[in-house]
Amino acid sequence: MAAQIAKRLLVAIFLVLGVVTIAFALLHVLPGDPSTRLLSPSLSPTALEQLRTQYGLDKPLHIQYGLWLWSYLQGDFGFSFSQQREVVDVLGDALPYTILLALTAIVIELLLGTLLALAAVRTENGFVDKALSTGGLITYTLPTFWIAILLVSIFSYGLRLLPSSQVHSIGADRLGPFQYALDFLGHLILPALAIGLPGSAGIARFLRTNLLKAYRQEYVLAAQSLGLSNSRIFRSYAFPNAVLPVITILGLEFGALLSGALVVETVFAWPGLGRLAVTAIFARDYPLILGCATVSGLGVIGANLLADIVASLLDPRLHIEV
Amino acid sequence: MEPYKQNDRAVRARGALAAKVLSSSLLLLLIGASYVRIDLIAASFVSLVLSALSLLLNPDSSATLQLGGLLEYWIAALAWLTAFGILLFGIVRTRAEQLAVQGEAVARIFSYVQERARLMGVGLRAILFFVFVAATAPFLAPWDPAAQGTLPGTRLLPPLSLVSYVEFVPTLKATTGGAFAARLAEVNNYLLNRSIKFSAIQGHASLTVPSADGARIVKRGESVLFLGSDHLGRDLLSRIMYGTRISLGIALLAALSAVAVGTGVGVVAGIAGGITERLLMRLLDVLLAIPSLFFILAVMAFLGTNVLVMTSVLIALGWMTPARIVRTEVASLREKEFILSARLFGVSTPRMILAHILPNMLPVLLTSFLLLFSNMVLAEATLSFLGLGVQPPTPSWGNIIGEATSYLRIAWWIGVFPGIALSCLILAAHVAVKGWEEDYGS
Repeated sequence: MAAQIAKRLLVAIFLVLGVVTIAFALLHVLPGDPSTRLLSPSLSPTALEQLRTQYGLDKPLHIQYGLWLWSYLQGDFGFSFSQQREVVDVLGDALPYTILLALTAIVIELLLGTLLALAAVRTENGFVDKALSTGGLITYTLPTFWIAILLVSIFSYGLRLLPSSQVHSIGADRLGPFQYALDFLGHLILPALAIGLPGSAGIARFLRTNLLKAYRQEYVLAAQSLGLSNSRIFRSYAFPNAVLPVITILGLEFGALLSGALVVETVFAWPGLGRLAVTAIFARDYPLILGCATVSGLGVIGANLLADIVASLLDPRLHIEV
Repeated sequence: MEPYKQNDRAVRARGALAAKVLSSSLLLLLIGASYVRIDLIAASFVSLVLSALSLLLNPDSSATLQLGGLLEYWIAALAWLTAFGILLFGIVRTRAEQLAVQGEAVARIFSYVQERARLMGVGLRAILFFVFVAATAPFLAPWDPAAQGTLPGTRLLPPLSLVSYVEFVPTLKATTGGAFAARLAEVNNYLLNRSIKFSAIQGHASLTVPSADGARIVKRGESVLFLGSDHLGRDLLSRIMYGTRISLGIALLAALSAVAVGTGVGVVAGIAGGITERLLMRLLDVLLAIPSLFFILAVMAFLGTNVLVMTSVLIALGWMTPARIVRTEVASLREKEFILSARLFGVSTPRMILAHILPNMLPVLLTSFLLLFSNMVLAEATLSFLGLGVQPPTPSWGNIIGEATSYLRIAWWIGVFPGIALSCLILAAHVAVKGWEEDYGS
């Protein structure tokens, strides 16, 4: 198994190289001089020349590529001229918010998805099952940004239950630690739901199919003939076998999750990676744009790798295909 | 393959009745719409016929036609006729199906066509409906999507608001030529230069028509803004109808091109085999691992935000999935006996691909096209929503919802209705895929 994980790691390293190379190619293949993109457009010609030498932009392409790779692998993503800070620092500030949002969304997906799948399996081919399947298909196809807008319209402006944007309410820093956490949680719920709802519909559909498949296996029949209770069969046989592939799916869907986060962060003014990327684009802040794209690429590759490793640790039979 | 089970004749009869009721009611709706918009539709037909006639009689006169502005009316007129034809056929063929049971030859042909149509399922029909709306937007949309009414009274009107309106055209200068040319000029003037003004105040007194250039009033009356108006006082329903064109057009173009590119790569990889195949598939894995939205955004930041760039980026990032599916399909097909025997007969590789492999992949290609299409609709809407896709004032569902975010507190309807249209289109594609897969049991 260690060999397989090593193989998977090797592939992941290649993917990371690919992502960094694409970022480099974006700067150089597209028309225009990279220096005008990497550096602030308002610099004087002499300062520009000086910086070009400093950043190695006057060297031949393959050396530039080597320098680029070296600095990226060291975590040096350049200088963001719209924020007047190192790109790494800007990303470091935004990343925790996106990670928190993504993790909350995953928890919602898992909990809600499992509950819905259980309800559907209980009432197989009954009214509830069919309603859930139809509703699931509809929810799954709804655009994330539209769900976000509906949630804000209903829960923030209609019912006035939850805040519509930002991370904290105004004056939250004067609250006690418990109320502060509660205020933060209130701001987290709607964006996480907007990402998690379509995802949970997908998980519910997938898990339902898996559970029904597991119940048709011979080991379940054997357990039944041994006289084990229904709940015991579910706990020890059907559910563990059905839920394992969900972990792989979660890893594969991480990219979709990040894309969802990008849009949802824009609607809710959530200070994460996605909102940063959009503001960077409108500011034409190219180092920051490339930094956002690279970090999200690394996130997706890392999530896939993690999901594969976790799945293979939980289920020794699982052979990782490379 | 037997699409019907033996014992569900009752289900079939019910389905046939439902189809007949649906076709008839849609036909009634179409007739109703024709009655309401008779001026416009009649003018478009007259313009189409007279322009065609004048082109036939005098080929040099093409220079005098203002093709750009009139083309959308001609297309709308043709689409209108087609819709009538399809709906009439929908009623006739249910009758034909009853005859088919008695085994009449003509009825059998009808029955065959119907069987093809049934396979398309609800989803594809819904997509066809959207295509119809996009093509006939000038007839269906009650107002010009850019008309702002008498500001500021017409901003943010809620759904079902009553308004008064006046429609007018500039009076035409005397034209040279006979009655025929004069008639054509008059009709074209109406189609190209008609303007509309509306006001939230009841009664027509508040609506004045610019008298300087001698405008002629076509119609005055009261009407309803079914879905309300937006923050610039434009009718939301009309904007959604015109927005269908953008969503459908970009998504269809991008999905078709991406499937074409993907099929090319997939067939090459599948036929070549060996090292070429493995290299191409590894490349696909790398490209598929990239989180697309972030990279679409990065590329658009470098290339600029316009429709052409967006479509190309969507194609560039969309061809991988069909390529992979096609490769798998070709790999399984090339082991089949009919391919082997064709090879034994010395069929050349291009002919093999065109005559034996591609026709056998049509169901797979259609499925991946539909899935890609729904992804493209979503991607276009998302980009336009973020302000990076279709730029205002051109209406697109995505940018209407994007504009709505600033007015959510006071005007929920601006964001909700285009979202419903968007979800319906995406859902239609998914339902079509589902129905198709059930029929083919893949």
